[in-house]
Amino acid sequence: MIDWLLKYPLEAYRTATLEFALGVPVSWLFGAFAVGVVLLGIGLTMRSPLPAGKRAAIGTIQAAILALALLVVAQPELVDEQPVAGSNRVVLVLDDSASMAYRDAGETRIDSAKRWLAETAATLADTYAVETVILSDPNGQRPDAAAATAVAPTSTIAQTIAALVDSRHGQALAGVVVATDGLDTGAGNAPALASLGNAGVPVYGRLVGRTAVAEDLALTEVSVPPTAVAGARFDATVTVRHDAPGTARLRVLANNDTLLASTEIDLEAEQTLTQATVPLSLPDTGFHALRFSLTPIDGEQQRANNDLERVVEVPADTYRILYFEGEPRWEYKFLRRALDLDSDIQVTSLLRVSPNKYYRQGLNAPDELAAGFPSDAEALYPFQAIMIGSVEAAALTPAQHELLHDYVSVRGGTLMLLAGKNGLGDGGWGESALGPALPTTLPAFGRDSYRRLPGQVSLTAYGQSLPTLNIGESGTAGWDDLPQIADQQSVGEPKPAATTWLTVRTSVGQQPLLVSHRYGRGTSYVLGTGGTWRWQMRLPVEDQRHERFWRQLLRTLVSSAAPRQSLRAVASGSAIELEAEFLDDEWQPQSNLRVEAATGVGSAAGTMAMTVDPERPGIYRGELPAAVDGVHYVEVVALRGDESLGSARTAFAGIGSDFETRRVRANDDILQAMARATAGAVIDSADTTELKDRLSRSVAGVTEQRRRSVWDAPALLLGLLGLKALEWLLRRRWRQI
Amino acid sequence: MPLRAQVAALVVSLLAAAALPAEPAAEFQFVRLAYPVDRNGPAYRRGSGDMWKTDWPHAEHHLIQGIKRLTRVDVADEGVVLTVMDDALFDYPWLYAVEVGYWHLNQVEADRLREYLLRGGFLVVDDFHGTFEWASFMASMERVFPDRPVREIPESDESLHVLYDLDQRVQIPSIMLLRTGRTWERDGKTPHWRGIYDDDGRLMVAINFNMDIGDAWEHADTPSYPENMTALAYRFGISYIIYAMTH
Repeated sequence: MIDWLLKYPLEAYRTATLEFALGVPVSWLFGAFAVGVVLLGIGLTMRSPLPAGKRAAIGTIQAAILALALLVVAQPELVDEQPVAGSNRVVLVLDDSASMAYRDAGETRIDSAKRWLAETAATLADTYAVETVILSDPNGQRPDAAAATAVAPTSTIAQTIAALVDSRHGQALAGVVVATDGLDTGAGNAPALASLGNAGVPVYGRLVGRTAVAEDLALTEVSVPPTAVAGARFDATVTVRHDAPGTARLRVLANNDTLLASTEIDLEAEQTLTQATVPLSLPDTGFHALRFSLTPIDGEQQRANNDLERVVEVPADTYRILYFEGEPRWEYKFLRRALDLDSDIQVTSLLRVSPNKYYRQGLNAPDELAAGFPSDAEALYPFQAIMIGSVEAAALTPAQHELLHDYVSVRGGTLMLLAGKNGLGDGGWGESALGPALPTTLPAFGRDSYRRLPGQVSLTAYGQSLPTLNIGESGTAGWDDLPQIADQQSVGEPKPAATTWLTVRTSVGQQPLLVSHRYGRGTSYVLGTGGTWRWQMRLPVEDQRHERFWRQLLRTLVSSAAPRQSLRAVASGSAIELEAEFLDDEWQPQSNLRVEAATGVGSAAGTMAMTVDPERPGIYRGELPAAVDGVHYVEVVALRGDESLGSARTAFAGIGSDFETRRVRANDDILQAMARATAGAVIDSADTTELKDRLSRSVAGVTEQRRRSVWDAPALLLGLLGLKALEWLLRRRWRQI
Repeated sequence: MPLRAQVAALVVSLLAAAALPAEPAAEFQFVRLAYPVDRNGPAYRRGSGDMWKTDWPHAEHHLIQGIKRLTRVDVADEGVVLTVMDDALFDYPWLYAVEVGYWHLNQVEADRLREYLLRGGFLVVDDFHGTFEWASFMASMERVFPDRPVREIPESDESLHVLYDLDQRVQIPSIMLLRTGRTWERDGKTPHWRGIYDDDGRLMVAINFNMDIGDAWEHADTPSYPENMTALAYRFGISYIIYAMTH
């Protein structure tokens, strides 16, 4: 109706400019209008007997009639550009990537796209030269798009279309139309979108395929730590994409033959991404390829996205803990016993047995720690974790307090303070230089915060989420029926960024028991008891919960310590980013090294120089192309001149099956982005006339000026008649015809 | 059960209950094991159903002072008496038993003592002499550990070097020395430091055979008892404690 009143679609008024065919300046029209209004006013004033208000109403109507009449006389026209019929070309692009083989409602996506493109070609044929190409061959080496099959391993939609438009620079390209499921495998599309925007050729997209696929489960992400301690529990976090509620079964295989875990994941109806945590443990050293597999559900077509592979390294090195204890006590004995059978962790202890004598255990050399607690970084930093028991801070010098502080913040080591009558606040540790590094504000020295009170330990909500604290059989929590501990010491108020793992309830109330926080590069803990040994003595000898508590906790402590030389490989789109760090003996960054990475991955096989990160001293970066299958190893060597200063090794899994087939849900994100960049559109309607109409308004290609008169638009004529009729009706009512 | 045996058992229970605090008063508590005697044995027949009380309480009083003076162990001022069947047994990982040539553990008690030791408890036995008392001691100990051998503690064993280097294998005599001039009793002329070890090579039971370390503690303030024997007894006692608290 509006289009009829205005003679042309409203869109035409938005995109075209308005000009007047009469050929006189607009100011003249305004002048004529002003003169007319004055004359009308004089006439009404002199000749009409109506009261002033009614005369003003009649005058307003007559002025409007005059304005419309002048507009008609001026002959307004809509002026725009339109493609010259037969002179422009439209390229239709068929996505022939492998994901287009997916079958929706009985028809493959590529067949659906072919059908729509064929209809489009027929619709446009009378106006445009229409060319159909396939996405994997945009230059038309294989021109028979109708025979194309969905087998292309990638679909870099934006990049391919940008290259296509660029290659047709000399042609009168009115538009590009792409039919796709939108599953773009390209990374870093910003340059391609900018190029498309500059070219001025509108891109129209037609999305084929379903955006929700109820019969498909996809393992979209698996997150594991790069390293783990042999036998220690660690978390794998898996993300499952689903479009229907239900249950997914996940299996984890190590090195393709050992079942590590099998668990069920509840998939909620309210969400399409579900995360779950799977506790795992690897007993042997070396690199382990872990395959995470979702069991296919009924009707699942694409099973390649059910699997992901990750690599976890269990270093062969023995971790070392330095345990400094101020008095012989049962916690010391039973802690050591719990760790005795753990060949991966060596507890080196320094126990003050008499006023001036230390007893040392777990030594690497007879004279190790013979002079007491280390006084320099060279002796202290090789330990991954330090534990300090019931010993007063004054037993160490202020310089040693500073060294311990730097051990956490600079070296990135892990520190744990244990309760005791000379420990924590009662030992004055809160007032020492180490105080800021601790996760709690310890009670002030002299408060006598240590009590021989039995207490029941329980997990906090955070603690329940940690596999480290699953000390029961078969990975269960195992805390409900633990015997009471023998003593308790206030650890004070946890600092804002600290997390509380355990609490204890005694006759004086409930308090935090095990608290940690990150400090600098490292982590610190406080444990408000020296009485966990009661778990060992109060439970049957077959019960391993006391042993598991200490083994798992200490493995967490040592495995979180920063290594001096490290290498990480992180998948980023179609590339693997390498990040190596080399620190000197005092854990200071070394930026003047030559760092070389040796790898066997694809085209990057051989040796590659890594470059120092200008913003992070000691960090060296490099990039490898992503590999598809299997486990790939990289080794970096740090050199100064010809001298090797160290090396680091890592491994990473390929991206599983090829990235193209991992996704099945149609997604119009890339189409929307191209449409925004090029003033194109995403075509929602299967009716191809919408596309033709949009193309007709395109200014791309060869165009000619089009002038369309609007003086005879029905709205103008009806307006004139309506206003005159209104004046007549008013005069009749006021009896002044 | 004969009346005198019932009375003896009652005395043991009352003494143990009276001496036992609700919780250990300090990190280390000297615990004396109150054990039953063999009702067919000589001690029972002569009415000594409380052989476990030998040297009590002066032996531990003296040793506790020595522990305080010579170590950093947080030790309670008073000792504690426990039976094998006491529920609190597992709160005290160190036990001392004297005159074990007369003890008699039934299978239930033996099973409980075995569990105590395997969980990490430590037992020192002392003041028994000669072939007869050894056999009597072993009759119960074999119920505790039927398959675990008793071995001579080698000189290199860590228990003899944890604080002192105890390479003086000298027979520590009882107070009888002052009356008889003999350092031995019965036919136990040769002192033996023996032990029972766990599967990981840690000493669980320290057996002072043919010697009387308890008397040397008890008579630390007896002018005529050899001071050097008391000093050596202190060292053995403290070493057993430090070893038990570190291994």
